Amino acid sequence: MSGVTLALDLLLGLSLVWLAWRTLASPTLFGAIVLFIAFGLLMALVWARLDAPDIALAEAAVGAGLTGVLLLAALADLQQGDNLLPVREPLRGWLLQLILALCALGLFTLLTLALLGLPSPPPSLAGQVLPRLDGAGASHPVTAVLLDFRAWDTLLEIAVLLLAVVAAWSLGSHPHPNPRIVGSEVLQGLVRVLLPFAVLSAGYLVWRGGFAPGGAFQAGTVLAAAGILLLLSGLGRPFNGRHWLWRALLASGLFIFTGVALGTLLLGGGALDYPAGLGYGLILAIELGLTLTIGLTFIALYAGEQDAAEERE
Amino acid sequence: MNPADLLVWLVLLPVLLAALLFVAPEGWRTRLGQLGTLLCASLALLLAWQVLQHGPISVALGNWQPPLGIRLHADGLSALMLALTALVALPLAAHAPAWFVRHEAAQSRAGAFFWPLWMFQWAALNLLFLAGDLFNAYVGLELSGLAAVALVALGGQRAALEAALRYLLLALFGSMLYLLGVALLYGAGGVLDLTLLGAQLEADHASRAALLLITLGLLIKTALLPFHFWLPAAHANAPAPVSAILSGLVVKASFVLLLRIWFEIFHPIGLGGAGEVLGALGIAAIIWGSLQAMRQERIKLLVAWSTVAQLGYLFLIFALAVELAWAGSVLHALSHGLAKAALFLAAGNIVLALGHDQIHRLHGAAGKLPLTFFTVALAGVSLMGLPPSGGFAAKWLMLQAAIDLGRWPYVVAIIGGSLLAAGYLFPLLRHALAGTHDPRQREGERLLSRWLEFPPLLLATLALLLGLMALLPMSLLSGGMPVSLR
Repeated sequence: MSGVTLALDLLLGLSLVWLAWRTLASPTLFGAIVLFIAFGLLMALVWARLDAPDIALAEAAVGAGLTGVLLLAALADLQQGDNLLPVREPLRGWLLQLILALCALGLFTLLTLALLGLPSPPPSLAGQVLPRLDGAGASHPVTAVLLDFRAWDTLLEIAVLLLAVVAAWSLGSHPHPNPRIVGSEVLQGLVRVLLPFAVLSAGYLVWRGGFAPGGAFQAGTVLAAAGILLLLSGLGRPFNGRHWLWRALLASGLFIFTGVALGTLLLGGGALDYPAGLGYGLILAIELGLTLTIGLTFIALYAGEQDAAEERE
Repeated sequence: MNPADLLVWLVLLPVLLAALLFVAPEGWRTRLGQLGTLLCASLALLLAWQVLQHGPISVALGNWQPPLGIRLHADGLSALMLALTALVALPLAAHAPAWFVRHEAAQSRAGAFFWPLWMFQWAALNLLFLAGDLFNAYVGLELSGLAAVALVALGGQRAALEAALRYLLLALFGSMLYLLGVALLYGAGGVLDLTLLGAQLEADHASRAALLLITLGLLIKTALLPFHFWLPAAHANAPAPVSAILSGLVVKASFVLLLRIWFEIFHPIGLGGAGEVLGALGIAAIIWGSLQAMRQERIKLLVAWSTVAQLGYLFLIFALAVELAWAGSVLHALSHGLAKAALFLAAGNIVLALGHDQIHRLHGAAGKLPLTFFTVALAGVSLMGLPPSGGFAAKWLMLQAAIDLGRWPYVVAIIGGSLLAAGYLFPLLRHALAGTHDPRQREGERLLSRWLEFPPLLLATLALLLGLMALLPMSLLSGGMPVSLR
């Protein structure tokens, strides 16, 4: 490792810790959210430095972008409500603080010892993935792991995503947080230009996922970003989450994935064992469904079950 | 159907049902949910039967064998827990719709969202009982935790929302610790499969740190003292059917995972000292939970603190690591699951009928709700560990193990715990039985339908019968005892 890259890595690592600390120490919630978004972007750089471009893409889109939007929307809701929660209650008592500090120090020591003792190079399953790519439905190792070797995990993670929407909507609808920006001509013009490109890049990312970094998660977040911009600009209205069709679309990725799993099981091959030759097509179908579900999930989390204005009518 | 396929169906069918229940119009949900419950429960009982007949069943998903692929595994322990979940789910499917219709404080939307959330929870529970892979179990923990938090929030009132938020933060913290431990194990050994990990584990810093992190994470989720503080508020303020799910089933899932990780993976690296700590915490939980339960003035808080106490028994196995105690611990998980579900549903009925939940205001309410208080008494018999209940059989096995090992503090704790349980359950019954109930209809009082009264009675009866049929679960367990037990 050359001196320059070492310096860069050190700088990245230290900035990450510093940003995390500033986020926690920020006196206002707004400041904390902005710092958290910066933290996410820096984290994406760290993943890129660790040769994990797939995670870097997802981190930038979800960790920094969409999470930031959701946090800002939640903040807007908090400020509109009359029951503002106290921002931060300092931990009472030096004894408690001392105990917490000792626990953190103990954990730090333990993790350092553990990490120093890890074998180098680390044992991993990568060596087993590569020779089997021919038998899998995707030639990009990450996609092959996510949608073939460990597709079971991915299926259940999509279930977690849908559960997140069900859970959020079960709490009741909340006012749509964009009253001030609606109608801004600059924003509307920008969105008109950006939207086709966003949809195009989402499609490209899904297709690319078969052989290179990309795939449904990245494509879904791009789609979600486009949708949220559409809502923010006032060009689009939130969909009505009470309607079964929208709900079915929201769940489409899960339906397709579960359908493929149960279909392969019923045909006698074993769940998620794609028949020879159909692997690529099935994975692409699943990925398209997942893209739609992931995109709509984030929009649904942002906009709520139903537009509050619509509900009043 | 191929028995191995059952394992996949048991996870995917509730997931599919959850999605369908979310999409379906609200008018259809109860019928669809009840039909789905019937299907899932039959599959679970069928699988338990298959395991009893033919021994453990494994399936490699996508036909990719571990370490590359993911394995589901059903042994005697999984079969028993799956059957428990099914046996709780069936009466619940009859009780919950009736309860949500009658309970005005829960918003009207709560009844509509209950079904998809509960189906997600069921899928997560089945997954956790079947998981043969540490990361897959993590996905199960996330699914279970998120569904549980949303279910608590269905209570709708401020107390329920606050409890749900605290539960969410702690459940996430627990998941994070667990995930960190799993990452360390993967970094050290390069595999995630439970069996493979157990075969290659070395006693180094990384595996010790991983065990500590995983154990802490799962203890938070299982609410062992001193990590119990989130439980009473969450379980007491949730709608009654949800409390039954959370106390009866959800806390057991993280416990079963902990059991597997300790006795199937980490046994080679010698855990004597750490096991003693968990056993001692179990004793402390029995005492502290019972004392707190005695002090409560609200029925549901009493029942929730009783859960803290009863969970303590589960952890005695970590100090008494012998086959008898293992069987006792699993039997206790089963009997507590049934009895506590019955007790929470009955408590919900009492609140519904009387319009309040103050214990000292019960004034002979047993005369008005004889069936419901009979249920409370039956469930109480199992919680106190009186013969012939399942609780008795479980505590008897643990007691025998403690005596065989000469561990007298544990003998005292097991017997004392039963007395303490009597100490918090008898006052409840005394208030309900003593005094004459004013026969006139008081303000806020209502009658209960049989859909509300019979499901908890069925559950309490099952908890009692478990003691008489304890040989059945024992024969399921006997084939699959971990080799690490003495």
